[in-house]
Amino acid sequence: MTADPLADDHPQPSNWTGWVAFGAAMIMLVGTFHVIQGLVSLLDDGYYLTTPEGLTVDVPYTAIGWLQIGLGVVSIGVGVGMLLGARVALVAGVIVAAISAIVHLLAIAAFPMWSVVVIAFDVIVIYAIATHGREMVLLREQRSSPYPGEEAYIARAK
Amino acid sequence: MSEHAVHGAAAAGSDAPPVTHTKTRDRSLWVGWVYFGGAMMILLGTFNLIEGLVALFNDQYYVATPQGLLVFDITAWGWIHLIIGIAAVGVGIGVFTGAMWARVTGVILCGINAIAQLAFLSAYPVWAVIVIALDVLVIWALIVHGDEARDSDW
Repeated sequence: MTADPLADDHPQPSNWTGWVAFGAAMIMLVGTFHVIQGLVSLLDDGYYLTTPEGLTVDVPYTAIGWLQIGLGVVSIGVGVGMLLGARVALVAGVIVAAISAIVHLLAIAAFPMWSVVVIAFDVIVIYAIATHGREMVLLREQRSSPYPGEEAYIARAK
Repeated sequence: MSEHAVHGAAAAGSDAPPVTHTKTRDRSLWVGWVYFGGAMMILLGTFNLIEGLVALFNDQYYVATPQGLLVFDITAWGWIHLIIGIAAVGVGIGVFTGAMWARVTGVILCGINAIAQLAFLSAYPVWAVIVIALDVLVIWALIVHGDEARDSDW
């Protein structure tokens, strides 16, 4: 085993940070899907297979449409933040993806296949962030400072 | 020769593990995913070509829901699928050469294709869902393993 006392203070990002970039691409794709679905809800709700009464929660399509457009825009923004390795974007990504999955579960009767695809994408996003999100933050910190945690180590050694 | 030297040092318990060397070795192991992404891209391009040809020559084959299509008519969709299909096959072949442009174009093309399939989904849901799944697979392979392709010898 290595006897490097700094090892604990220097967790290294693995080669798998690409997962976070993939998660970002997926959440931006989900965001685009949301915007399209939101527009359909607002402008062409006859396209859906059921009326609002057929949904789990009887909410007018106009309200669902705005919710979807809002989620979509936020998702795309979160995706950009994830690519930059921002911690807040990684946390927000999990929350937004979970909300998106719940909304689609409740509205699944409107267009089942769309909802199934979006829920699958949400799961991919959550997996990517949960397993590799921390490494992306480490990578970002390493880029700004080659030895993150160095100051804490020096303070402790004194 | 130098490889053996590095391994020997690591096995002897040196406190300077050969980090750089290990990374390079890991990468070359996973580069096969990029070939897989290229192969999947050619496959989904072929699916798109078939979808496009069916739309142009045999549009009765599609499941016509009462609501019809979201946007465009079936002929327009035929041409869209045909063009995306041809592009995907071409870019898929490009991915096999290890070219950076092919991976970037591949990710963008598959993203656009997934959106197009979502809008076209009601015409033939199962086809569209399969193609969306393939799009995601290609995007995954090209993004997650793109670095390895960059660092490998082709």
